[in-house]
Amino acid sequence: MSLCQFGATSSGKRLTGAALALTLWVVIQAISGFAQGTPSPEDPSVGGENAGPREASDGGSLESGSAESGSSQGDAALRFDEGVHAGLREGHVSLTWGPDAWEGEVDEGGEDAERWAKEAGIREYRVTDETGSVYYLGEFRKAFISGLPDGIHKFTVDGLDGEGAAIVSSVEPAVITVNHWPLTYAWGAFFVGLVIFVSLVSVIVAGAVSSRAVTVPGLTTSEGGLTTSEGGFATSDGGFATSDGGGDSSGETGESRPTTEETD
Amino acid sequence: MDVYLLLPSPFAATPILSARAGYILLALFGIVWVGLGIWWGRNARSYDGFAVAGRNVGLALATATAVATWITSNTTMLAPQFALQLGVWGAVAYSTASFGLFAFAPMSGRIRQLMPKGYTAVEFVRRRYGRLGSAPFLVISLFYAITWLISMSMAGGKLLNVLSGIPYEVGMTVVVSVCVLYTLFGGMYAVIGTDYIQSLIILFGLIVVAVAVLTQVEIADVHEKLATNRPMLLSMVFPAAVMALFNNMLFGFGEIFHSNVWWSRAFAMREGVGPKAYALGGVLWLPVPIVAGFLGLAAPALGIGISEPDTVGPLVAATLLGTGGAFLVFVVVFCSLASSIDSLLAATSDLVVNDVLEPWVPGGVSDARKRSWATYSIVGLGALAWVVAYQNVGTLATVLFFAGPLVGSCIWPIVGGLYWRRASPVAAGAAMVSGSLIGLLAYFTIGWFVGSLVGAAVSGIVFGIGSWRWPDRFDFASLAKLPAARDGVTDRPGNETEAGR
Repeated sequence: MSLCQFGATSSGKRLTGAALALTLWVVIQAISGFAQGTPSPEDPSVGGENAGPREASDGGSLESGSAESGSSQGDAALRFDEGVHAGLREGHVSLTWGPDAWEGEVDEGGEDAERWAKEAGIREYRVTDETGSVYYLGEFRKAFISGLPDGIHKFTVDGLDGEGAAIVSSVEPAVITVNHWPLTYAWGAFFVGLVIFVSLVSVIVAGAVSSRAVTVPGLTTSEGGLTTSEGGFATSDGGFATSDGGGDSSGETGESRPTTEETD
Repeated sequence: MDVYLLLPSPFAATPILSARAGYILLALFGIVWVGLGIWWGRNARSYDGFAVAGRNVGLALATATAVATWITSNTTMLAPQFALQLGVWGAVAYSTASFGLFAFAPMSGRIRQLMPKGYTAVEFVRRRYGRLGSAPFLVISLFYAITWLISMSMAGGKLLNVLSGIPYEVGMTVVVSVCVLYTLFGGMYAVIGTDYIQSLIILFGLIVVAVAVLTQVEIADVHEKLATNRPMLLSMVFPAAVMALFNNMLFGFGEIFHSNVWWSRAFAMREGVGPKAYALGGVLWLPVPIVAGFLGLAAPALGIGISEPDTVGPLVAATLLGTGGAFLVFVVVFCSLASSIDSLLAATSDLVVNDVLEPWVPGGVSDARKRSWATYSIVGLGALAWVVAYQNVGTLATVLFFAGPLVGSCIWPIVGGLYWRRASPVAAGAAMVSGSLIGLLAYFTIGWFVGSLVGAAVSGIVFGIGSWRWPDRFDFASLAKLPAARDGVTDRPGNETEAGR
């Protein structure tokens, strides 16, 4: 087969262009943030419809908001960046929040939001569900919550002072709607994966067993019987190869392959 | 050594260790690794020595390098993240990556047997399938290797920042520079030698963490907390997790089967060592994601607030172990990063030299010139990784997961190419292209947890149909023969001429 000729190394010349293009693509991907993220909860495709009050009302202008909001702690309330997360398929979500009066993207607001929290006397945040169970207790304005079952879940966040008392709370709860993938999809994928796995293992095991052979120069014996051929490497068309560990009878390389021996 | 409250990136304000402690550890390990690289580099004068360590690596070193390379920063960070996101199934799914090592064990023996003088996976595919197969395979291999290298470099900067407060740019630069330096001096000798030490450190650290977790955390408490607040993490019918199980396993298969990181080791190992080394490596690696995954599940029970899921592992470990734990986490993380980055630099340099540059030179290239090219390519790859990673865009797993469908599509062409005479160039090329494209489509339309699965499934179907419709009658004996250009030029010790040019 002409495409499979030994020593077809000239193909590398054409491949270099592709390799360079690939490298450029990788650089572009990293620079522009073009790549899709992992199943990040911040990903809009995971979060579903974004009907959060901030984006709906003011669009979140970081530049315009960051200057004033540092002194806006008089509006002592918190607000989630995204108030509604609908149709979560994997049951996990990241909630971020900031001062209610804040007009910027609090997740990116950084120092101004931190200053606001400090001036408001907030030392920690606590995220709880409707039953009062605590899902997050920490000093950052972001909580990762996972393992939620199907249904609607509501979370509130409180800002706590140094003694653990709530001094500010979210004006509205974050409403999370979880709708896991149908089990038919899941088991379908599982079954396909199982078939591939079993097939692969079968091929590898059969190949390894078939290639176990005891060879002497010019003669190849396999466990399945004796095979002699010029190359001495294959059993039959379409079959698994036997050992190729025999001597290089062609003499083209001038090197003698080791006489073997079980190899696998 | 100062220890502070644990805080995750990018919201980190106070790290686990002081920056001074971090710098001292960095300097200490940097000097040790570079020194060892120079020491071992004495044996790497020829290209054969530099690229495949003289093809005489024994079982202990071979096993250690398999374990160390496969324990990346992703293992210590993504496995707990998997558990926190996908529950018990998530940890199990991550551990199935060890199956790739088990499956590669017999394949490594076959590879060593078929190509006793081979250097790269792309070389095998080129000689097995010609340009139809090698074109997409080279693109996939380079894409995967470079993105893995970049993601590891980024992980280095981020982790050192989280752990010790060392600025991202500084930490990333030091990690990349140290790895480039010792790989540059020692080649595969240095990579495998440092891997041996690094694997011992990593396994010791993980055992200490495992014991600490089991003695300080009541499994019943963890179960109760999860059952109350996060029931899906314990569910055996968590749909996304069920889908992720075989996807992750096939991702691991694809990564190992196609990547030159693993092929170069198969070429470097002494004949007969590969199968045992990879199987042992799989056994040693298997429990690591389970231990790491438990850290993710324990976080809610310990009351540790998680802002960024990819930092839950180090966060929980250091919380449980205090000052010593923080030190241990830092060292384990640094070793896992270094063991992966050095392997990538060496293996990708082999690709550049043997599969990108050498084919351009009619008549072949001398050993000395290839050795010189390897030096330049390692420096170039390090520089590329540094430039891209410096911008710090994306999450740790972003780019790597993107490669899932691509590597998944290589599984069948590789396995079929090693064992099946009928496997044909048309089938292999079509399988890789169609598997990659449809796998990526599934990745974007459904989710990351089906990308590799779809890629492998489509690739397998196309490969089977293609080989049935356009069968080949490949002579495996031809793989053992040296390419004409290489024979008499590059593989004869001491021959520095460029005969035939």
